[in-house]
Amino acid sequence: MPETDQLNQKDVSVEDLLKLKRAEQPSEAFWSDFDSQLHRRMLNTLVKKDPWYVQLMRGLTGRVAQSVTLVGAAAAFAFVAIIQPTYMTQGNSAGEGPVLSAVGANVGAEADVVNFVESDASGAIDLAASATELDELQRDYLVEEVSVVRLAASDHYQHDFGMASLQVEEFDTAAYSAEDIRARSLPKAGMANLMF
Amino acid sequence: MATTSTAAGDFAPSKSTPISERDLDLAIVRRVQAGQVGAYDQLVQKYREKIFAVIYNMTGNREDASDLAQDTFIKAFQAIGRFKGKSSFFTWIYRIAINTTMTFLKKQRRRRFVNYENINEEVASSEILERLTAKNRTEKGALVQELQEKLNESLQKLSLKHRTVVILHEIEGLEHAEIAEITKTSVGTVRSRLHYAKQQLQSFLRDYLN
Repeated sequence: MPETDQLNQKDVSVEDLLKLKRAEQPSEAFWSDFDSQLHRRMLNTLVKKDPWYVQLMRGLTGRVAQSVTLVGAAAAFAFVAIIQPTYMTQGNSAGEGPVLSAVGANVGAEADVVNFVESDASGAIDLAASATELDELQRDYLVEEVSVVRLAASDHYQHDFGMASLQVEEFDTAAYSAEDIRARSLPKAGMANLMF
Repeated sequence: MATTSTAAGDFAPSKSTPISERDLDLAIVRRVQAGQVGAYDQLVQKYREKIFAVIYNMTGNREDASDLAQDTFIKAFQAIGRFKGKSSFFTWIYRIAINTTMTFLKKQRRRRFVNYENINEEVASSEILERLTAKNRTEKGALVQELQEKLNESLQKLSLKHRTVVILHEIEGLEHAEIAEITKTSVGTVRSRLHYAKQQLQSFLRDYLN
């Protein structure tokens, strides 16, 4: 058989065998599945979800952050309301430290200091430090004094606490309300806001 | 060979990839980058067989090749905004396919099952098979199946880098310069790897060679 002899004479090389690999081809059904799977996966990449542990951490972090903020605010208030005024008194030998609360500026009175009310088991006691005593305390402890003074109509008193500037204006009940003073005098919410 | 400047800037001409083909691909890429996301499908349809074939020959597993080919197109889609056109899209996506497959294979601690693709009967009826059938005096169908297994086994015995150059050159028909660009090596390295790989394959497949 001449044809067979001719075929036999030609060498088969590695390259020839490797070219046979081109015959390994998927069917049309395979490509149909391939396309639909690829489209589905590409759409999934557009809607990216974080892994479950990231979502869990985000949820916990949110709640923790809220708690930390509240605790921090309470701690800061306690520091300002308890520790600082503690320096202003001559010492408190009574059992547990009293809880001090700021009752707000006594804007209507002629007193020139903010009244702090100390409450303990026996009841509320007014502590109104005199100007002389305050001067002494200021010298000793550099305590800053917040004072509300009846001023002339157009006068303003600014005291810079380093965080925000406070403008304490003449209080005219007809024109202003306490809420207005707080809103206008405290440009941003901060620790000072807790005092009024 | 003349070069053509496009909006992407100058790029080197390619021998086996005509400039018009490259420009076509670049135009589609620009449309995708401009927001016509559906245009990406044209690139998928154009290159999916080639990409699948390369990955299949590297892995020897049909299912893995399908997944990895999809991974390749997804990665290319996600990175297409950064494609500047300095190389052809063809080279770029081949590179992604090779890197994705190599990363996958390196992670395999033990050899995965082989899962061969079906032989296309029309393509298989080639002169080479006729010669082999005549030489071995065996039935063609049995010979094809045996040969397919032997070829895939032999390829899997090669190291990844040698397997890659053999597949790209001998099966995919790419030139040395293109392979060098895809694999980020030199033409000399491609040639030496190819030479070594063929020597290895000759010893594995000596029963079928003259």
